[in-house]
Amino acid sequence: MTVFAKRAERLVALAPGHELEGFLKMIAALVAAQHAAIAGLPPGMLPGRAAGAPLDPVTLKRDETWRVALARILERIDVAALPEPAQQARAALAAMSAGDLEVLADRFLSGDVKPGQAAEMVFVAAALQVAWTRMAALLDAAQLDPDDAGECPACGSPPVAGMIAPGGTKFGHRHLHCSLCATSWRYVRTRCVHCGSTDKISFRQFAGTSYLRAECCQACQGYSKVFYVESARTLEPLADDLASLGLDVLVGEEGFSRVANPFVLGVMAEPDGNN
Amino acid sequence: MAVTRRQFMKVSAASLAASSVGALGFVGAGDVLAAGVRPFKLERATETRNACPYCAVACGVLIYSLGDKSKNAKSSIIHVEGDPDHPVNRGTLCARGAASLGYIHSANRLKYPMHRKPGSDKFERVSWDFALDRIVKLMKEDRDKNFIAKNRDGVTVNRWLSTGFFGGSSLSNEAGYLTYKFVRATGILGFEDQARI
Repeated sequence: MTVFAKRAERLVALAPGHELEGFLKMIAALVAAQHAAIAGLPPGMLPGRAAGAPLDPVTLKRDETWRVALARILERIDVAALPEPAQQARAALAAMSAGDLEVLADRFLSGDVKPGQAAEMVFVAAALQVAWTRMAALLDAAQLDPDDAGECPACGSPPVAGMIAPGGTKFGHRHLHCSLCATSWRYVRTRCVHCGSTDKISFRQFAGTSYLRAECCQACQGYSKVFYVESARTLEPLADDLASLGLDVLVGEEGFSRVANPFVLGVMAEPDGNN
Repeated sequence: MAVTRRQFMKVSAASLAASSVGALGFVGAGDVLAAGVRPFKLERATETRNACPYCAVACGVLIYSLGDKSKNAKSSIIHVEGDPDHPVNRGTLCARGAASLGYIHSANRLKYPMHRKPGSDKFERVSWDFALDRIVKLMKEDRDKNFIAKNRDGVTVNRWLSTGFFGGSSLSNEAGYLTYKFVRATGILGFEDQARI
């Protein structure tokens, strides 16, 4: 079972009755297409051992694998789940030249998404996830150096959310989950994932709930989500991040910013402290 | 380098509508979501690292409190548990450490110096200055009276046996060093400092 199959299953379970039901169902269809695309992808390049993150898209020259994945996703996705604008984005991508697609991929990977490209970019992000997740799966975890940083040790991307482990030898540890290659790595709790500060961390949660809290940093005005698997075993970081966007609305009203979920792109802002 | 790849977003009904959620065709979804969470209250909480005060093992603890100190709200400690990131105890606590919450909120907890006057049957609150002056005076009196400079055979020993000293369990290495130097310099032999492991 791939990470995408598990994610799609979780999205399908979360969607019914949700305020974002249509959106969650569409992303479920997209993730299901990712699952279909990753099987039997042609073998791609793997970098040798490099200093730092071996799959960092800034230093790694990518091959056409991700475009193969994109073509498969566009072909396999359940069109019934796509509203009209999403179908137009799908058609536009299918007709696009390889060169234009590479430009879009560069924009996504360098964090330079324009609002006008937000719909297309979701499909591009999904295809890049497939390519990077497969590469990451072939890495030797022992060779990675988490370096106590808030970036993925495999590809240098920011995390989508953190999960607190429920038991076993990792009891109570937080693991961050990569937004691009699905790698997870340990990161000290009660520490800002953006600026590393441990000074002015406080949490926000819906009154009476225990499975999710937003870890807010007054030093950089950034925040990230922390899920407590003890309280809800079926949690999946990316899916549950999307399903809990309501918490983001309330935390955003207090002035905090987060790293964008790869499927919620287009309106970017520097956190206040970084100006 | 990787920091430049962080795309920050302040989530709101408007920013969701302008993001890929709206662009994919779910235009009103952000508004519905924002209206849906309106009845919910946000609770503020903090998770603070500290060292357990009970013994010299000095296990790491996480102290949970409700309320956000930065907003001048009165915060109250609701839970204490082992710090999973601490190399000493890795999230575990002994029975006493795990019961720290009761000790924090105990009505009998000592919060300031107390003094029971000679002949009195009750403790009264006193200032730190009074307490320290009083301790120093009594120590000096006792040492002047009972200090042993030489033993029976005329060998210099510089002992002070009539007073003992308790150190603290969660002293740092440096504080432990200074405590030892001070206590031994006075000649005290009855010295218990839990920072000995």
